[in-house]
Amino acid sequence: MTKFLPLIWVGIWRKPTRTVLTALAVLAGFTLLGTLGAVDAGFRHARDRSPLDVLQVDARFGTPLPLAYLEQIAAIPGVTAMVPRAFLGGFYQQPRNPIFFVATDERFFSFRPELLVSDAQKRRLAETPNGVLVGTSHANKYGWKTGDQIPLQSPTLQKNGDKTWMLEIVGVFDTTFDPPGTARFTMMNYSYFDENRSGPRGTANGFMARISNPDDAVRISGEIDALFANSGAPTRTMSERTSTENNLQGLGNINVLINGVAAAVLFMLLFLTGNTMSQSAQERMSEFATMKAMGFEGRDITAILIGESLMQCLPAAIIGLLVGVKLVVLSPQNFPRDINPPWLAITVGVLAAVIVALVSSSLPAWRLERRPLTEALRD
Amino acid sequence: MSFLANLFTVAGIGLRSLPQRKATSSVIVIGMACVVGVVVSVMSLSTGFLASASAAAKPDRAIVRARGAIGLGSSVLPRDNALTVMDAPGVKRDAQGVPIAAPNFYASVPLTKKDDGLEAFLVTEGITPREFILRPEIKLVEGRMFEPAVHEVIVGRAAQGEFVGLEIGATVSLPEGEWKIVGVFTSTGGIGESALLGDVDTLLAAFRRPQYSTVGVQLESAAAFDTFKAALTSNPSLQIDVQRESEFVASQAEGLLRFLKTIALALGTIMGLGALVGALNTMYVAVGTRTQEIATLRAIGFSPLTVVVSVFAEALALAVAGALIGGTVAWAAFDGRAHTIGGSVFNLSVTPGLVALGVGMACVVGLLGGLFPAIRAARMPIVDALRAT
Repeated sequence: MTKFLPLIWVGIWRKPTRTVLTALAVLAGFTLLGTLGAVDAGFRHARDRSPLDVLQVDARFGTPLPLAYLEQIAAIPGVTAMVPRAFLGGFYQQPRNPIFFVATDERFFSFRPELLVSDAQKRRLAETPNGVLVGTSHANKYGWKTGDQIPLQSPTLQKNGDKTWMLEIVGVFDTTFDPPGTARFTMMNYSYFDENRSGPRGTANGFMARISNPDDAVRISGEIDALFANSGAPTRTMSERTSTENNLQGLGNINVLINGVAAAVLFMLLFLTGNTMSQSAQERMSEFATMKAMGFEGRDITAILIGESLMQCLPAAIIGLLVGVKLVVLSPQNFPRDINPPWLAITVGVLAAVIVALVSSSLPAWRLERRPLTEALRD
Repeated sequence: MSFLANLFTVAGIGLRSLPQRKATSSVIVIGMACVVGVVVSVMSLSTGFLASASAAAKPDRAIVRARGAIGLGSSVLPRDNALTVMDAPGVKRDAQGVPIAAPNFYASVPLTKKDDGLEAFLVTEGITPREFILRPEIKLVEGRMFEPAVHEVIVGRAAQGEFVGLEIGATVSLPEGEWKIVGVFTSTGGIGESALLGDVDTLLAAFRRPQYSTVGVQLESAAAFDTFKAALTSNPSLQIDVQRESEFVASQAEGLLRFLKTIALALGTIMGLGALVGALNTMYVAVGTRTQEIATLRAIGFSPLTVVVSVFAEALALAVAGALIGGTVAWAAFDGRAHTIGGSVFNLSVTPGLVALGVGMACVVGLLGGLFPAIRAARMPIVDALRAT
């Protein structure tokens, strides 16, 4: 194949406009495929990283759950650890800066190993009642640093009727799930939140429960819900994995969209490159016939055509895929992202590019092969 | 006149020779069909959702929520406020002089979906008998009406199709145990039927909520909205937001519509660029193969402009044909198909407006794709071109 490289090179630059246009179309198409692949990988990752052995116990109908549930749930065989979660939502300075604190305690860190919080930060949080830990995204956006006092305007009133919560930043952290500087997670002390709010004291919005065997998730979830089914605050329990799946499908059927668009893009490109190759081969019918008369084999000609096609498609496709993936990484939108490069999507994309190149050169190659030499020479 | 006649002649010759360039021409058609097919399909979500959400929304009905509440479920409207709102000026009254207005309570209930077995939230709405006078589009079509003070609800036809276990006689888990489904209602289809309806006070008690969520009122006329709003907003004891039903629906749908529009725009732009490049390629080939024909036309006196226009005409015709094919395929595949986002069921809708959008995109691609090839055709030195083989 390498000995044909000069021939291939000359071949693709025979009509530079056509080659450049074709490569541009491939670039555009594969940029889109790269974007789709990265988005798909992000969703997959969000699902896969949700543990099967952590149950979320939420309020089925929004009624806050009494803390007393903690002990009742912990008593169920197979449940090994529990932590309460409450939410304090509000905004910083302006309503267009919403922020949302998870009020919990130090047991929370064992459920969320992805939070890169140092022991010193954990200690400071425990020592500072109104202390909060914030993700790097918020810290960068508002210029917060450790030691800052920040006012949070919240519809959740304090017991004195004040809607401004003064919180002290005791640490800024990243997570292993987000690119550095983009972590959005925030947390505060449950004890401080519960003591100071006007709402129903001694309640949480939900709990997290770790179970010893993931296979028991469905059974234990059922037992927990049965425990409180006839109470004033029924629960809704499922594994974090199932919860993520429910949330993702709530966005609509993303897979159908991604696959549909990818199919349309590939179909379009196949047509375009196939046509380019056909034209190019058609125009050179007599050239190829001459080469055959000079002793080139039919498969040599085929190899040259495939080489030309690959050289037009592959570099453009690879650049497009990388640009597409990068676009997703840089996007300011808040959707699940995989911090690792989506190798699967890139591999599938390169494979698709090779297939597009092979298919689009096979038809003209086959036509050349079938054409009697004497006729082709006369073209 | 003679210029126009010439134009038609040249464009006609060009278009009639199209069948000889089937393969290359089809690149524009297929490319454009793919772009328009994708964009129209994505946008059909948006038009379908909006159509379904606004089907029952009227400009002469208003909805009153607690100030700053997002959506309906988070609104908490004190009872005395609700009474003041229902009695406000601008509200239509029936023959007995009673205002046509009704309080509502909104909550959501997790239920299992039929198609994927996952859970989604279905709206549960507490209503009073007045609701059926306020919203005559709600009709009981099967079974009987729920009774107050007992655990009974009626279910919307669309919700019944979407979720498991909502047949008459079945029960759903609501607070305080199982509630029996005793009837089925229809409304304007889709989102309006994605709900359970029950007695407002019974539901409030079960959910342990003392307050209504919202109040809906029938206005004397669409124009009476200003009177109604002015009366309420000037009352310092009310902490409320007042919106026409139609405006409320539009504001609620805004986020989703913007999201879908962004996706459609991104897909349309990138795929459109691909199609444009394909179109350029095709039109260069077209001009190339018509070299002698164009030169002959020029030699016998046709102006360069007519040649330019004929190239444009060809590019446009191909692109528009592609757009129509793409639009038709999207229509055949998706129009009327049921879709859920969250717990709301609606039908995708491929409207003539969307197909027109596709044709508009095709015109842009056709014109831009024809531009450079047309200039090349018009600039061709006649003598050389005539000699070209």
